Amino acid sequence: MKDVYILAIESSCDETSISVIKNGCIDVATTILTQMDTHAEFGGVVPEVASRMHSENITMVLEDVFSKTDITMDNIDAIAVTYAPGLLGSLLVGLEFAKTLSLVYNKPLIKVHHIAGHIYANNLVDKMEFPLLALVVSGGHTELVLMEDDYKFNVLGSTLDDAIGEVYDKVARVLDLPYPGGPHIDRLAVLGKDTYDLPKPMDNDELDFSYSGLKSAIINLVHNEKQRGNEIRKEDIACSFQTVAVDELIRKTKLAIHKTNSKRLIIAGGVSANKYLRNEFEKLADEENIKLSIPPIKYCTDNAAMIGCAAYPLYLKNEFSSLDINAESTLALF
Amino acid sequence: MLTLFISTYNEYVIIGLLKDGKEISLINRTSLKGHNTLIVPSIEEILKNNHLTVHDLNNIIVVNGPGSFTGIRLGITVAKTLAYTLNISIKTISSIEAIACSISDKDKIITINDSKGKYIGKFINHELVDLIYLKETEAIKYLDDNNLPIFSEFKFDLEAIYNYSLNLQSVPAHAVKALYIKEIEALHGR
Repeated sequence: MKDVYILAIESSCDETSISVIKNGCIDVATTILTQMDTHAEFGGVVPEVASRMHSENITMVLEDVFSKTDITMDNIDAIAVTYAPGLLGSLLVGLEFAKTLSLVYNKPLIKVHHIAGHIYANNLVDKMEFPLLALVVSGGHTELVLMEDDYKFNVLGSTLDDAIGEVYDKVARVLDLPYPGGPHIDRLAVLGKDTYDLPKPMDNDELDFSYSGLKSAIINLVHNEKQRGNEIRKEDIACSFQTVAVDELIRKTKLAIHKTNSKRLIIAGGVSANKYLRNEFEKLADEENIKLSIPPIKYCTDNAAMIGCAAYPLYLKNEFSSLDINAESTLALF
Repeated sequence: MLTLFISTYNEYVIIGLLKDGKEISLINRTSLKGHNTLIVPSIEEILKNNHLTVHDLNNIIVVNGPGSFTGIRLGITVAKTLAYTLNISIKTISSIEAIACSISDKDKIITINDSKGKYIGKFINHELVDLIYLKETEAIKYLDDNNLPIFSEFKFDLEAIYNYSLNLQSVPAHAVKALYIKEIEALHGR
């Protein structure tokens, strides 16, 4: 079969990224321009600033990605773009850019869901084999999903309140750590000890998650320690929090493995860049004797390579979009 | 010489085609569902209606604001992407100047309203001498103080805009930027 090259575009939050992906699994070239430093000054992503920067930079990102490969637009079979979910203004810039490329080069347009992108990032490591169990952990997601085939998502459990990535950000803010907080908690946790007694989320055998109790417990803990004039041992809080938060993911995933008799597990989403999480899941995979796939850290945070991977099965099914499609800020994948 | 004109700074998506500076076609649509559903399809349509393709274009004139932040950003993104990929010349013109081109008075004020105030452009002897955003009460005071004819309703004269653009410099596609003027509310006071 002829090789398929997809030009993929991702601009749903604060990264402008474009990739050339071969056959849905090989990263031929990727450029990621992050706005992280700009938003760090404001303590979080400012949507209007993000949209402006995407528009200012996107043609330069295109030039950069093609400077890394001999592949040219002539070799490209389709244009893929993230259309949901994310910051609306940011999604729209990527979408308009993609539509314009589709018009100029007469290539089909493929709309891709951002979370499908995170899941399909695993194809960059090892081609996904179905059925498999997927754990999606990000700023907006904490879900256990059984996939029987491409784009067949059976949600076994999801968060009843806060997503795990959201709680990481909140805890980081309470501890006065810079944005984005997740990596800082991960870094501090290594230096600390699990000394604080925190409540375990949901002590039951359902596959749903709940993190709001843990979040409130940390906020109250830090507040009370400050009131009493006690020293806030950030390292120990980070370690205690992370231990409880990740152990809960492990416990529920283990339950799901047993309930579904799964042999393969993939982890997807921004929080899968967390080192403690990665180590713990490797241990779990050994214990349970299952095949584990976690994308390399560079593919865990937002990037266009994953969008190209997720577009490939849609390309094979001729699932193309017209040039009048809209972006959607809150569309759920499952 | 085929020129594509793009304006998306307000609730309309206006796409025009000019041949050697003469208007040959115009699409003017109200964007109810958002500009993004209309811009690229309208460009495709206007070219098709005239038995042309994007590859026949020689240059682009895009209105870069001020006005709706999202509107101008999307028009600009499409325009700069066309200019970059087709390797053709692109010029930007402010919404205020584009309106002014269509009005013969030498001295005048052009206003563009938004929910909280006005973008104001002041022209003396056809030259833009002031371009600002003012909250409603300050805007009214400004207009009173200046005592010049005020225009906010308009119909674009594409040929006048084209002639005005002859005196403007082309911008490298990567450097094409929106003209926002107004500060971002979320960052107010920072």
